Amino acid sequence: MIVFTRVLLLLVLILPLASAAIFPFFGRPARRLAIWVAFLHLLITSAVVVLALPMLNDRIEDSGFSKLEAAKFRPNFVPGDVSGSDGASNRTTWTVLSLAPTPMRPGDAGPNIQFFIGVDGLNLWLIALSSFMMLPAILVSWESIREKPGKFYALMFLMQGGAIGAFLSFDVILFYVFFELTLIPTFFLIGGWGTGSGRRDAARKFFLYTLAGSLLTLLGIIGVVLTNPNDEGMITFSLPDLMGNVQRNLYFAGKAAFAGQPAALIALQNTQFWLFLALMAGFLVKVPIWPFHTWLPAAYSEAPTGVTILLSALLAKLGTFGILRLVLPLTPDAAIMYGLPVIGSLAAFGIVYAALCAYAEKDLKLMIAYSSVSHLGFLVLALFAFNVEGISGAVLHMVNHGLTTGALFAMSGFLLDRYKTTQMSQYGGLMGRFPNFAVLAFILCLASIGLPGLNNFVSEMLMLGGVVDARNPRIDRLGLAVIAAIGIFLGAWYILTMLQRMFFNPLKEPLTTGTAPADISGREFAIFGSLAGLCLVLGLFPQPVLDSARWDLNLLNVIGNGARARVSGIEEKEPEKEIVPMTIPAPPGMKAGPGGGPPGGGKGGKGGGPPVGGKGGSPKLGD
Amino acid sequence: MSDPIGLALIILAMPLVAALIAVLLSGTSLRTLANLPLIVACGGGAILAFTLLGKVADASTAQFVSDNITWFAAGHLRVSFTITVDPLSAFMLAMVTFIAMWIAIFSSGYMHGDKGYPRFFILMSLFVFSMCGLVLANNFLLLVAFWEGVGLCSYLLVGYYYSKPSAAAAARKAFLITRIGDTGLILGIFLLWRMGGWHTDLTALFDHIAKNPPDQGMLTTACLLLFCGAVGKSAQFPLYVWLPDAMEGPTPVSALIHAATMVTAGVYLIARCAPLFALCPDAQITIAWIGGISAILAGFLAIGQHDLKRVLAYSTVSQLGYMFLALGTLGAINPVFAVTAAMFHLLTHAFFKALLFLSAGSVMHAMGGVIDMRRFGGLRKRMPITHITFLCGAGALAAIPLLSGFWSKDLIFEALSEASESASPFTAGYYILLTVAFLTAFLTAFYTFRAYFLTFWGPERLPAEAGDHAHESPGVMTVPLMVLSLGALFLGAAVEPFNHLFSGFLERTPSLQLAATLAHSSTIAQHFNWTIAGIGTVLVLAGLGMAFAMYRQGGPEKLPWALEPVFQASESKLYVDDVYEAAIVKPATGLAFLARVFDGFLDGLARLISAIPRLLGQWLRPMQNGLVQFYALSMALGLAVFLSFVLFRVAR
Amino acid sequence: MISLWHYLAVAAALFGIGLVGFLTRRNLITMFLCAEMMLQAVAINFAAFARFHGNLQGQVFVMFLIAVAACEAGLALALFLMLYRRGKSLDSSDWQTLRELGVPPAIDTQSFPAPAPVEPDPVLSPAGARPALSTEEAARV
Repeated sequence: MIVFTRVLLLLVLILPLASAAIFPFFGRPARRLAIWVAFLHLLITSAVVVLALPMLNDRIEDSGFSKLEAAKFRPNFVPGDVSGSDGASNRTTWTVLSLAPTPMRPGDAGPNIQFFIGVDGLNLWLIALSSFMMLPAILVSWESIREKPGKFYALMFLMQGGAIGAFLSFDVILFYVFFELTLIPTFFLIGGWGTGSGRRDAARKFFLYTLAGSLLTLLGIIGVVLTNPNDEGMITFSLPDLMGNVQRNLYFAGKAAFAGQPAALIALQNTQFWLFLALMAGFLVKVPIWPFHTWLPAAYSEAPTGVTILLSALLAKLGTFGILRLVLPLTPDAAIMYGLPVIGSLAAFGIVYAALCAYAEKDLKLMIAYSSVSHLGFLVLALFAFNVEGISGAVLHMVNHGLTTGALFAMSGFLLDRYKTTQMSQYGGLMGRFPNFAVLAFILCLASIGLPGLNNFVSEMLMLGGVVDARNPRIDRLGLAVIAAIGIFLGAWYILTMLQRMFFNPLKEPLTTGTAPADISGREFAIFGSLAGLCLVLGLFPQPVLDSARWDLNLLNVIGNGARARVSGIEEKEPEKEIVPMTIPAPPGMKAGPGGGPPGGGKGGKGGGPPVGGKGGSPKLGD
Repeated sequence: MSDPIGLALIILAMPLVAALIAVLLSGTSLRTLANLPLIVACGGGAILAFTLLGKVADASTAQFVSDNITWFAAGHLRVSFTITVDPLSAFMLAMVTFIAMWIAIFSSGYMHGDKGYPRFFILMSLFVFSMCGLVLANNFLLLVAFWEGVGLCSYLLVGYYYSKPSAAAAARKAFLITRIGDTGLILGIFLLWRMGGWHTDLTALFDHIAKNPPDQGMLTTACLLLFCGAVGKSAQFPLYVWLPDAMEGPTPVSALIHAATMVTAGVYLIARCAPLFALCPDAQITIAWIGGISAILAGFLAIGQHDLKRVLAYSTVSQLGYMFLALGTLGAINPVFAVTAAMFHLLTHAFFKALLFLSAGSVMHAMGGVIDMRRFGGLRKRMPITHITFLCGAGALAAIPLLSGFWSKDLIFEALSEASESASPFTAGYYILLTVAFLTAFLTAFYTFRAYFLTFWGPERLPAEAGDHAHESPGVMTVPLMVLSLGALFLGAAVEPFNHLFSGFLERTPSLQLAATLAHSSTIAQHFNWTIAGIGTVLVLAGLGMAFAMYRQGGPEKLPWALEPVFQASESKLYVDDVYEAAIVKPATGLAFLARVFDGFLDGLARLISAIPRLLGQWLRPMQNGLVQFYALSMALGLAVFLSFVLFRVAR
Repeated sequence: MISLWHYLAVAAALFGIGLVGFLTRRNLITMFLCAEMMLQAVAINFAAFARFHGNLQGQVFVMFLIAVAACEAGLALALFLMLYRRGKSLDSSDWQTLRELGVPPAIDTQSFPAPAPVEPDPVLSPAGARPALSTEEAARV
């Protein structure tokens, strides 16, 4: 069974890459084939999700984080797991390149760059999203891509494969390889199939901008690897091992600092600062955070709609996911020290700034592009709050934002297919023109502005809670929360203005040749209906997503609390008095894990702080 | 089934099911029957809600809380689907479903033949669902969810005539302005969550705060932020500007959403959170001042309007201001009394204002959509039933003695006068506000009867649009009018002044009792104060008399020159909208365009940086001159330089 | 006794001559020969160091060098032949078309000195009957 799951996971990654290899040889029938491949992929991914969920939900929290070795990610379903069928080791033997001076036995830990992939709570839903969003991306391109469809879909699959690879990777170099792999197909897709006259320029700008950033990230990755060897001085590229090393180094330095010798800690933190900057460089551009966002409007608006959907739903998530996967666990002290004050300030400014730009924008696609910048700024803000609420909100928002922004771009594709323009001033009264489309478009737009009952509300509330609860030193968290809330309001402002102009008012449409455009077709209904349905489902029942990631979120929270204590120079103290364990009865919706105790006190509470602040943080790590 | 929570859930579910059925009907030939699900749901809901009232009144504990079903939870933030039934919510539930039922019946006639008939009823059903959820929610974020839900339905219903630009603009304005308040509300909730032991459940939060009183300043901030939400939703100063514009929606929508139920959600929110507000006197007096300013400002703006529905809209703002005035006395006097006064006025107001709007709708129906009072008049003969019902509503609104409005307004006066004599630090403020309330009563009587006389008295005038259907509305529309006028006439007298039925019922609400404990105020005897009632009556009669003197010949309006500037100022809405437009909307839009331009500049900066390599290349290009010897020479020289560096610097 | 220094000196001289020749001469074949000369200087160094260090690694390198040089010679001369066929010239500055766009070509300001008249080689008269030459052969002689 466990081998079966590993094969499935491997298939999730291989299938798009293999399709990318064979699709260039197909011509016209490529689109039909593509949709079948995407369906198959979704099926496989669903199987992985179904198989992984019980495993992720049942992880025992008590086992975690009290030992040095335990404060690290634990991927499941790792292909090439050393321990054969029981799957307990969470490491792989599939070495791609070994930097060991002498040959090693397979399975030994060492300076090996490995093909190390697996699922955990953080990436499971992003993979599901990557798999799912391929369907609307293909369906939107159904009519509009007539030129070399085989190559087009091949590149799309390559993009998807790259994103999935980056989500799945647990080896830092492998992560980087997949991270960069997405650049190539995107460059050709924008440059080759773009809609506007500036497509080549946009493609080049996108490529160079992201490459410049991510090369610095590579530098950061190598720096982290080199500065964090294990006890025997051996470096490692495996992310979990690296986390263990980072934690151990920080723990001993922190202990010395509390004992009155801060030199080691200060040195480590200074190193971390530079590594943090280097790592963040690529992610800042990829997310993007103001002022590194200027490639985005051009790329999003010039790209064909299907590509824009993948860009906004998957590639933007690579940046935030990189922060989650690499920056927070590998440079925790710097993330606490500079995360909110520096990056958070930029993000907060970007939230308002991009929202204002979105309001002023006259082109629908550009407006959505700017709104995406605004939303992602909020997401980064919540990530750097570095507490359970913030990060869980961010994880959820990655999925939600992928769905809604992708859906909004699909909406622009609907109009583009019919009228060849996305200038908002040319439209009016579409509610009467396309009543069925209007209903779905309204649901999706309302999801985007965070209307309760739809998906974004939940994640926005969690993120806002995270920002309000952020106890990072040297920030005014309420100020940030107010800015974030203003961002939510501004989101409503431009979306409602767009709705008023395009869907209300007397009918106004651009001139078309031939027959009058028809209302939503079956194919389009499949796109918008499924997206709207998912928005509703995720808005009402988001808990499975949060439950499956709870273990990982607590892990990050423990790391965060340790870093917070080191940075503020306060030794871990007793649980704060203000936190009361929740005594409400176990809700039927939540599965009581073997962690024991009431779910509130044992799980939710734990994530938030009391047991963590008391015993889970780094001082206990040395036991 | 028989327990109150189950009952409440059924009441909650029925409109939702009704909406779904209406969705199914909308695509079929049965679309003209789309009104039935809503009527059945509201009717059934009303019957069940009255049963529920009885159950709550009889039960030994006055509050029932449902099980928690987690919506989402992470870290400290735990939000659950949980509802509570206590006298306060049971009362609101009964009121909402009962009024909604009659308005639904009225709309079946009013909206007949409209091409969006099913859409209207789907949205109305969703609205009733959200409103019921709003009053039942026992979790702050769940409350926000339904709060936004009613806002959404209001948005879609105001924009019901979507191809009309003014309706589209009004819809957006309504949603956005309430959303300003909602942003504050959400921030306030998160502040409370932080200081209230990480609870978002109302009951748990109140208990926690009562046991561990947090920092006064923070609590006041949080309360004021909550009040922001109420100000937006209940259209109080300075966010009231959306409500008059929202009259672009169909009239039943105005009656149900913008008079009887949704706009009172803010009042309900404050009443619900009474334990919090009882702890902060600063927040209370702020509420009272906002209420007072809104009451008199809107009352003033109502006197100069020509649009019948706008008069009623401003009057709604004004009456909601009364409710906030009462709530503002919450800690100064016994909170139970203050809340009772507010909720009682809410109840009577729901009846007479719904009645007035429906009557106006009946007029509008007959006049072919014209609602400008300058274009019709003297309708008394043509529409006798509407005339009588409108008169009942107007009388109740103007607080003519012994009608509903009189009793409820009297309670508010009493609350204010008690507050001005209490131990509160703001007695002077309450005294001024009492005067304001009296003045508003005068204005209310005047503008209400101005509208009444202009519409129904004097010579008959009909607009061209009325055509041949300028006659009394059909029974399906007049019956609800008659039922509601009974309420407007007698409900006030029936439930409170003589038997204290209403206050006795509300009193048992645990949160109000908690508030009373926290406010340390003694129970005051509920007596009828002849002086206050007398002053009120005199002012009302003065306003009525003035309206009679000026308008008994009906329209068109002839103003004495002394009053002309006053009316002009009122008609121009004191330029508040223009000021907002110039001071907020324009600068924000300007800022947006500035940001967009700046973004181009930023992009230019990026391009500039990317130009550096190109310039460098341009500069170095001539080196590539194609001469092998030159290359070889540079190679040799470079090697020489490098080697000498190695030899003389590094090797040393 | 010939020490390592002697070898190195020879190699350095060879390298220097080769370098100067490479930089100053414009005939492709001469340049190529100079380059070869530099290569051989390196080879001498290798061999000398190998000898004096007492291991064979340097010798092995020399083998490689010779092999590479041979291949190179074959390739280079083939290329020169092609170039000569195209341009009827072995002057390296005639082949500067690979310069950047917009860069002016380098043109000799002084023309080449006229080639010195070369006396024909003395030819021995063959014994016996003189064979009849074809016209082409006659021209070549």
